Amino acid sequence: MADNDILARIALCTERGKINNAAPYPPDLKGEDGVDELTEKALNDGVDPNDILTQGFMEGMGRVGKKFSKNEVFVPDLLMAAKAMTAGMIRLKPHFESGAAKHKGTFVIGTVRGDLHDIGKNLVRMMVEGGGWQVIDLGVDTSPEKFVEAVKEHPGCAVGLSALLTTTMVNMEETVKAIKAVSPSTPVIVGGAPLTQEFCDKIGADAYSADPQGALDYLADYTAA
Amino acid sequence: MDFEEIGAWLEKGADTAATEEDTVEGPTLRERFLKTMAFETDTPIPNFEFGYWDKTLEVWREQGMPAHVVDEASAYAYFGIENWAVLSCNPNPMPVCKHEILRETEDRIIYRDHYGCVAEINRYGDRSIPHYLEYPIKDRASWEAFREKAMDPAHPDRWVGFEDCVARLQHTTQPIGVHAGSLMGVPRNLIGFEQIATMPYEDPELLTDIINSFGECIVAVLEKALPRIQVDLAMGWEDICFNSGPILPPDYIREVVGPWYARISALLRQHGCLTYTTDTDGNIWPIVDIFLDNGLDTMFPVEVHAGTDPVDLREKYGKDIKIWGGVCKMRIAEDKAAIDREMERLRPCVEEGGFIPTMDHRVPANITYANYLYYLDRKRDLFNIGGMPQY
Repeated sequence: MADNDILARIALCTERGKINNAAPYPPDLKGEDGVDELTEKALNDGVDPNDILTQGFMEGMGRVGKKFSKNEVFVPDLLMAAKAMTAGMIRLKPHFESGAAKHKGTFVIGTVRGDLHDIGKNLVRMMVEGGGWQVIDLGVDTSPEKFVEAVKEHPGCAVGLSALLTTTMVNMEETVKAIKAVSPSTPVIVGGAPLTQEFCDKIGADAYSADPQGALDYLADYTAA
Repeated sequence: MDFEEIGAWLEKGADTAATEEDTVEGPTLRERFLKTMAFETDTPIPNFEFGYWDKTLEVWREQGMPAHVVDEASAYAYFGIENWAVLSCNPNPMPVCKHEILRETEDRIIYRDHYGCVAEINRYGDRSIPHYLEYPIKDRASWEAFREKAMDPAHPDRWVGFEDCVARLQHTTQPIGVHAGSLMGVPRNLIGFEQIATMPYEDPELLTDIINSFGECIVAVLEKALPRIQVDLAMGWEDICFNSGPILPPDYIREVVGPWYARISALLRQHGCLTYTTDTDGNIWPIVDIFLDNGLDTMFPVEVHAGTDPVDLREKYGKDIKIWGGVCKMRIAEDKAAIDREMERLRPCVEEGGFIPTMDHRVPANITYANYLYYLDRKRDLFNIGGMPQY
């Protein structure tokens, strides 16, 4: 299989959520190699790990993310794609550690103080990982101090803040202020069910995203700028 | 809504006496409910609401609400919110263990609930939805063990207080509701969000087995309850939609869950219950057709900011759809002009009938007491809403 063919196949299997050969889903790919085997084969054939990341995983996750934004696919499809991508990422891990493969950047994410909800945050984490970013997940109920600590530890990172409730989204403002006080240029993206662009503007965050793909699109624009 | 809310809903069956009196002269609340849901518009619409987040009443007391308003019951009485009665019968899984606190930290309480879920809640601040840490159903073996203990349709604890409730409600003037159970929401809480979301692709046999077992319990309970008293509404609980749609694939919902909705709705209609709804939250557009095709005809709570606009629903489905909810809480949090605009926007749909306007979820604490009063007054003025407030 030529490099382009195998990369296209990795992208397709990522998009369709085909994890490995043994996985029964999707039915039309049953018995065929999935992202796990294809990534191993590509590496053995000498394909550049960065190409596997960008033309394989990122391409596949990008396609499913765009469909998700348009309500053409749903959370289960996004999760299956993320599972498939994760299987391939495990194969790439040594190449990230050796420096042969490079992340697009570092993204620190967490649910803000007082809020224990993590479903939306986890979906964004998966998509951003699939977009080639190293993700530092601070978990739920994250204090402004903890975000600031992570920003200091990962210079040049971008930050994502999540909240589910109107009562906890107000805590985003305090976190944005704390981050901007120590690192004014750090981009902060906010998201969550009750949020709006207006609220984002009011608290001084850099971007609001209604869905995971929007966060990824913002990060892509940010790195390109 | 979580297990605690379901419990509170069921407990209403044991606590209907206090709210049984009608709050307006003329047709009873029950008659007004039935007429509204039959698109007849000559009587006041029931003044229902969804309830309040924990912190809301506390904040409102600081903003001037009387000190005696301390919980949902006293708030409903004060604001003139009306209510329906609920039959005491439980289609949900039976408890499998004792509810116990496992440990407490400075800011969290970690507990095991009576289904075996381990969860944590904040000790202070928002405690509305727990953060689940461990789920009782992990695979087929743990499901079968759970089913053995929890899913017996004939379990006597499903009927605690039922006979007394039936006797008490014989001459009620309130609409009588029955809990129509959960086919996806409670299984989600027992399995885990990410796990259940991918089960239709990775282990559809197990998930279908679980859903069928839940469906069998619901049908068994309704078959026994419905002949005993005339029920006016059936409300299930799913909470399975986000801003991005449902957490299970729509094709799977149509194939596996849809037939249960059809069976339940047929049973309800056979016994004269013509309003069947379920609490979905979120963006329901990808599955509205599935609900309607299978007889679940009333959408609740129609969350506008999540993408489910009642005006759009009515435009597409006309009088094939009934709406309960649909007032955008985000607009009510703004100012009087925004509240006016929201109410005027909904007015033509409400005036068509088949629409009980309520806030599209529990009232959050960022809505001021003054805004809430203004909203209730405008609702009453514009929509011919019933209820007699004390303020």
